[in-house]
Amino acid sequence: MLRWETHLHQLRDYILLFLLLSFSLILINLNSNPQVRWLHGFSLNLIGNLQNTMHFWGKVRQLENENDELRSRVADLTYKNSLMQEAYLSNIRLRNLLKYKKSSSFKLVTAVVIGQNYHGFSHALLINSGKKQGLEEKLPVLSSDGLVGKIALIGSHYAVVQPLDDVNFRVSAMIQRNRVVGIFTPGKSGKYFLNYVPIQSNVKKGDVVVTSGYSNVFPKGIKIGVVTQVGAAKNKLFKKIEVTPGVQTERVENVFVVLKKAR
Amino acid sequence: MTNFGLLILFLFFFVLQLFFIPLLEIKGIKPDLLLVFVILVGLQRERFWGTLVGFFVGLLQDLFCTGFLGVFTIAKTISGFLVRAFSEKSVNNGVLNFGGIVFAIGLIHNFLVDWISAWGTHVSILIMLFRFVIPGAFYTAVLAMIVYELLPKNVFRQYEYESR
Repeated sequence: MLRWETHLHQLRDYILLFLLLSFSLILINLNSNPQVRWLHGFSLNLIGNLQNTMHFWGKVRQLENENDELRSRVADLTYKNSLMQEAYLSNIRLRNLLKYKKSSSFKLVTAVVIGQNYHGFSHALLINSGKKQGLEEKLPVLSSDGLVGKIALIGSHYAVVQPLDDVNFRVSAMIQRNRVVGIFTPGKSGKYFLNYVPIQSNVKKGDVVVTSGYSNVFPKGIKIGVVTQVGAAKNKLFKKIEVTPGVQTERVENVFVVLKKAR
Repeated sequence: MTNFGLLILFLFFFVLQLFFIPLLEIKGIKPDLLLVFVILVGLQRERFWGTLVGFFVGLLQDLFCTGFLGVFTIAKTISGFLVRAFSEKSVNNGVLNFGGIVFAIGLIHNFLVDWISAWGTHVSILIMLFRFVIPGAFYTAVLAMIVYELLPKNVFRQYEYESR
């Protein structure tokens, strides 16, 4: 009996490892389960609140600094010029945002990017709008420069956006000029590709790539980027088309989320 | 180090990982302070506790991160289990020894996280290794060595010795 217990004691580490790994694998399979997503969303709200507070205090400190700078501007004409230039650029950016929102046929909700998370090939953006602002999972996220990504996870006041450069991001896209369809994916080392375009298709450098609308997630015609290189894929069946996205996801600050119902 | 001391250390590392470590990010690579904590516990305590703590720390990290739930749980559980394979006795064998253990475990941990995250995609294993896994493990090991130098040395003493 004692020998059996000793044996079991030696085995307990392996039994524990087996049980915990089994639980972890079940957890990975339950990622789309509503209860698990609720729990993830709840913890996301907690972290969102903390990050928002830090963002807020960061802004307050930024405003204090700006105030000091404005005071010293009176004495420092050079600095005044640089500040004016900054204000001018900011004005252009906000005007573009406003113009885009007014001209868009979509019903849009604005949001601010309050956090980013990189891990390996994975990238996610945290925005300060959630279910309370009418957002849902899988809604497209845009900026005035084009497609940013889609909502991957939602909390009551925050949401996680899966951006274009996340390794698992895919979107059906087409060449705006001649409607040639392919799949837009991020590639290795920061490059992006329009895949599965037949070799005989007419695609040129400078062609604009937009969403094709062949999915329930992204509406048709949202700009993704511009073709920068065209070649043949290794299998000679498809073209190798390199695309430069309109949006640099690591620099985006303000985004729009497209609600399902159009205006 | 007592259980209470470890809890305080964990809370400190957790806050740092959430709010300070993202500022140290270089080209998508950031160190993992929570992995350093799991390794610390794995070296101080029996393998059973290293595995268990690895599981719960990974689960918590998953809940507060934006990726798939369960990825860090698996990686940290295995890391906690494997720590003793790299050092049967005390961790208090010098900063390079500790950094080496963190680097070795970090390689396994990062490989698991990136491999599971990129499952089903066309990402090459070699690119994954050289772009993220090895630099990430190296960055974590460097941070671990800084932590080793900053923390009092009794933190790294095995619990069994202290409790005698």
